[in-house]
Amino acid sequence: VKIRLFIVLTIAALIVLGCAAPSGAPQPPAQAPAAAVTRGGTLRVGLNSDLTTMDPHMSTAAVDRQVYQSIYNPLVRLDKDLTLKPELAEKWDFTDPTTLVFTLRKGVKFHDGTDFNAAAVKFNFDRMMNPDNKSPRASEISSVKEVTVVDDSTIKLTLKAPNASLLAVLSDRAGMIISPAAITKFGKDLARNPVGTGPFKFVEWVTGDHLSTVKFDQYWEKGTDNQSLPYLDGVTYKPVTDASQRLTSVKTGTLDLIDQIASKDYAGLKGSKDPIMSEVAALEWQGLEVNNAKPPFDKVGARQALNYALDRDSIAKDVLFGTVTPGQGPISPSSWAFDASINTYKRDVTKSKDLLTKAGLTAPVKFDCMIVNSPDGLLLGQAIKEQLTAGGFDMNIVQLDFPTALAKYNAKDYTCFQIGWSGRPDPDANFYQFMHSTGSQNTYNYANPKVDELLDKARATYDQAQRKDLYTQATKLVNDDGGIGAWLYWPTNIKVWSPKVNNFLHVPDGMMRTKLLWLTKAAQ
Amino acid sequence: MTRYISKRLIAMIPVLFLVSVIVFTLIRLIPGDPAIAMLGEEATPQMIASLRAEFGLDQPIPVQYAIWLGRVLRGDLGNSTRAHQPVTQAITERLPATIELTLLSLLISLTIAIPIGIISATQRNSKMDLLSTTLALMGVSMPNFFLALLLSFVFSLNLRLLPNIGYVPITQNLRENLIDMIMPAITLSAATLAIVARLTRSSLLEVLNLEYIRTARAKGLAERAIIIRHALKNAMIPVVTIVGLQVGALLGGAVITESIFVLPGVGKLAVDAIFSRDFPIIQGVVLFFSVVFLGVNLIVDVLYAFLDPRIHFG
Repeated sequence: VKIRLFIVLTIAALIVLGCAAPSGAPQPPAQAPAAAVTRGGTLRVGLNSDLTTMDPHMSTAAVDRQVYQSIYNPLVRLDKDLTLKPELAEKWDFTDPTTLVFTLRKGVKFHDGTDFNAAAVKFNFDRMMNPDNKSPRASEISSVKEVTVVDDSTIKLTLKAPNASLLAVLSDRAGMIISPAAITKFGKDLARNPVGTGPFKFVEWVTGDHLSTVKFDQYWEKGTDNQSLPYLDGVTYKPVTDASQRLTSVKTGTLDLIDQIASKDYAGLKGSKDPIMSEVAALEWQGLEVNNAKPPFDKVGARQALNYALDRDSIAKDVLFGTVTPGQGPISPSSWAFDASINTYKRDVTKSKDLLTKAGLTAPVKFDCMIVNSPDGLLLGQAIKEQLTAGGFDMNIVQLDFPTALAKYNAKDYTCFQIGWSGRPDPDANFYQFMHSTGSQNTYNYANPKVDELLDKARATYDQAQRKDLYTQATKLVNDDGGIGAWLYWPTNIKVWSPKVNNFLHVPDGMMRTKLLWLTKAAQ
Repeated sequence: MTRYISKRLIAMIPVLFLVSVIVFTLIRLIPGDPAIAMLGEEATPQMIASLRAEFGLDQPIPVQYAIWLGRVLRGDLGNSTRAHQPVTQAITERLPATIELTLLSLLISLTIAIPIGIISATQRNSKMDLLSTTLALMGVSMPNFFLALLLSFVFSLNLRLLPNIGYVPITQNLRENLIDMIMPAITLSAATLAIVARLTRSSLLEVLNLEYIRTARAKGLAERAIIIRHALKNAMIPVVTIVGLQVGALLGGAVITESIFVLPGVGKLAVDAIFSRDFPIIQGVVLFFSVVFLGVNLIVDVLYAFLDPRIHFG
């Protein structure tokens, strides 16, 4: 009966599909470059996860930051090439290595009508720095000792020690300024009642369904038509956790712009005109990370062998369908500090086996590795296992859900874990906390005084060229030690949108900035 | 009757109590800490500890349970740990979508299943019977996530007739609401439709062989009157029982259907809560589903009395 049913089903499905697919249907003509911007329309954005809080001082989920792009403005803005541009701060100056002075923009208003000024900025910093508030931002701005109001539009940050990464931090949540009146009024409920200076005002948030915003009429920035931004009437965000459904939505016109796709869909979207796919090297890195205190990886030879056994090119091409760049460091190709010479390991399974023998280990060298139990995660885990087998290892895949694996990892109760870091614009935030012996995220028990010295120096140097050189040296040292285990690849950030969406600025941080977007008139 | 109903209501209390104990304990056995699930990769040990304290997770489980139960008895289901919202509000906000989805699927399955059941029973072994049996088998066998993807592939991606996701509240725009609901309701109704059709068929066949039907036929009543007025009413008793039980299955199915079609219902709320280890929401939703299930079955038992006057409740 089962077989018959299967045949019936298959035939039925084939008939239905055969009738349905409009294959070879003519593509709409490519959109001519628009001479002028058109205003109006509501943009529908598909997010990859549910939102958690609208309070940037309390958020720990990347998805929240997408909505903040509409509701808030940071002090400084991150550009495509990861340089920093003025936003709420018109200019800034390190008057000495531990004093940062911001000149703030005048005439900016919060959505509730209160004025944006130096007192508001100080109020925000004090809120993040107050230990009672337990703000996740506190550690990001821990280098700040004191914030002083100089005058209504000047604010001074006094630092405990020179910190070259601070400015980039202020382009994200720590630099987004919330209305002090709203903080006082709502307290913890600010999570669902955000009030910022951004181009769009918050309207409503139906958890798990949508969050809607509407154009803020008194927004400070002007568009190319010399009228106030934004061009759009509103932006609605919808969490669609299933990647296939998200893509179908933008193909069928239910959504206009989506974040992230499944890697299997990448090839099919390349070169497509409807929808349009945009890709840019992200800030993120992924690795096969090991605990330097647990056998077999307490031996440097085993960690080096791991690096030789891996075939990063095959992982990028065959497992992840070209949606990543193979790589061996914490600084991705999107950064000004990127240096391709850090890729020192080439696959060599004989060398891998030799190193294991020299380290006093007998092949196959057994170890457990935690792999997050998602379909993509397991596929990657299987490929790694096979590659390592050829190099003299016997990796046992331990499938765990993400929170469980993360808990073990944080407690340093693991041998090996395939995980990564979402990345930050400044290299310091992608490197120091992981590889410095005192780093808060150094779950590897890795310590190399020379690396510590280089990282400390890079943090205290404001010269970009010097910093780049220091990071390159540090990365090479860590790679020689196999300090993290093995860095694997740098993901590509992918966005897909309908052809009616114009003017998308694809910054490597993957944030969807909405103030400059506009919709083609006919499509509204 | 009133006495019977109040007796049944009282009997629900220990059941609900047991459900609450089981859920409370079981979700705490799932590995994964809500604080870590929430804070993600950015978490520092201090942040995790303070968040655990905020959620009361640093207390022993029996103490946590006692605190929670005390609040529930006062009508407070607690606060969602992920979305900063009271659990009761989260559930009531999402009830309309789930109620509509469940009722629509029940409506679709019954209006199709009962006629199919009658036709196959009265025309046993005919081509019609064979067709309905095949369809019923397909309905039971096809997992609803597969049916959902198939429908969405055909009607959204290829034919562009229906939206693959989306939800407009019924109060806002009835037409758009129904357009959004068609595929989810069909998906969810398939299994129930099949089961009810099969059961109507077999139950009716059994009744049609009984002596009173022969008597009715001997009296010269029209076949139509025999089936509709005499046979069907009696044949419906097992069907009603199954429909009652199917409400449970529909609520369970709603969990998957809502997730695939991104409907903001209670089922999707539960799935999201499990992934983010949002304990208060999981507890609240399971308790809520239990109350609904027990309530529906009580209604079903009361309905027996109307279908068969010989059944009395004391």
